[in-house]
Amino acid sequence: MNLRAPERDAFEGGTGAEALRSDLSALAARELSGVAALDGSILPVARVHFARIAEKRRMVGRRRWAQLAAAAAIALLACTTVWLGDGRRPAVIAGDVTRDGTLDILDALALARTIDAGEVPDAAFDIDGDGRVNQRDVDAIAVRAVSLSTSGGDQARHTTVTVAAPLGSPSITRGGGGS
Amino acid sequence: MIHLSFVDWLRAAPVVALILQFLVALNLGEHRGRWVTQDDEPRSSTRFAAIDLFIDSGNDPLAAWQVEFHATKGVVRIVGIESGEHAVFGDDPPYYDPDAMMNDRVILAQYSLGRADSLPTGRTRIATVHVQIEGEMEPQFSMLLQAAGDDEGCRIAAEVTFEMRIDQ
Repeated sequence: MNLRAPERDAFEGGTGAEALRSDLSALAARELSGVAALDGSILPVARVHFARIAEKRRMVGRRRWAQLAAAAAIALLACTTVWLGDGRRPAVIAGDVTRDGTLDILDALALARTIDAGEVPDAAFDIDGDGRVNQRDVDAIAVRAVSLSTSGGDQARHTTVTVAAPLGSPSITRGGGGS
Repeated sequence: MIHLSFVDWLRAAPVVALILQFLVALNLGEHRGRWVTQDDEPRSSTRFAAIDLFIDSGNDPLAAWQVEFHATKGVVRIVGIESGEHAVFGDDPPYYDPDAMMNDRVILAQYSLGRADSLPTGRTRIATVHVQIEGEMEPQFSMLLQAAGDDEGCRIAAEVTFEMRIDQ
């Protein structure tokens, strides 16, 4: 309160000044207690509100990580599929000497060529389990290749040709196809 | 002895005609039944055929081959497998599963360690499959090349064909 000096002296020196001061103090104290009560009622609500926002942000962060992990898994699966389809997969079929994922006569030929050249064949091609890799294993691979119960072969690479064969005259029917 | 007058015979004529008609119908029906039965009897038709299998590897020397041959229609049984024409594969028949005998499907394979200049090129008969065919239905066959390789063991492209000879 800006009072000129004479007025201030008169105001501070009187009894009214004391009463006014005490009233203002009481008023201020009451207002301050009201603010504190207001704060006390708002703060818990605000804390709950901001806690929910923080939780949502954490959830969004977790979802992003989950999405990234899923994308990484898909990318890894795709790479693995491409890698396996590229013919570089390890031999998982017994007797797959050429390591092309199929068992056919070319595996028998490859092993026979190795033995015929005097090279030491991979012990993994001891198909009959007699401790040696020799002609018997070549025959065993060939027998497996033509087995009707376990016939392998990459059917997708081949062409099937069907030709009707009339039983009457003429008695020769020709059919054909290719790879 | 009962004596029947002409009038009595006239009165009995319709009854006699009915009895005769019934007996004739019964006899014809019996014959019809026999004819149907005879027509339904299946005719016995068994014949044999030889199917020559060929591979044409073009200019590539053929060191190994594997084909699948099977009947897709008709009652067909494989009764024999014969080796091909080229000496480099020997006189022994190719590899095959013994279960293919009396079956309608077989996988054949053979290889040779001969030098490139001794291996066949172009079209060569690799094997002959002998089959037994039953019934009137015309058989259908399917043949596919599963593998063909050259003297280096490398996979090569080739064309397969077959020719069937009916033994009359």
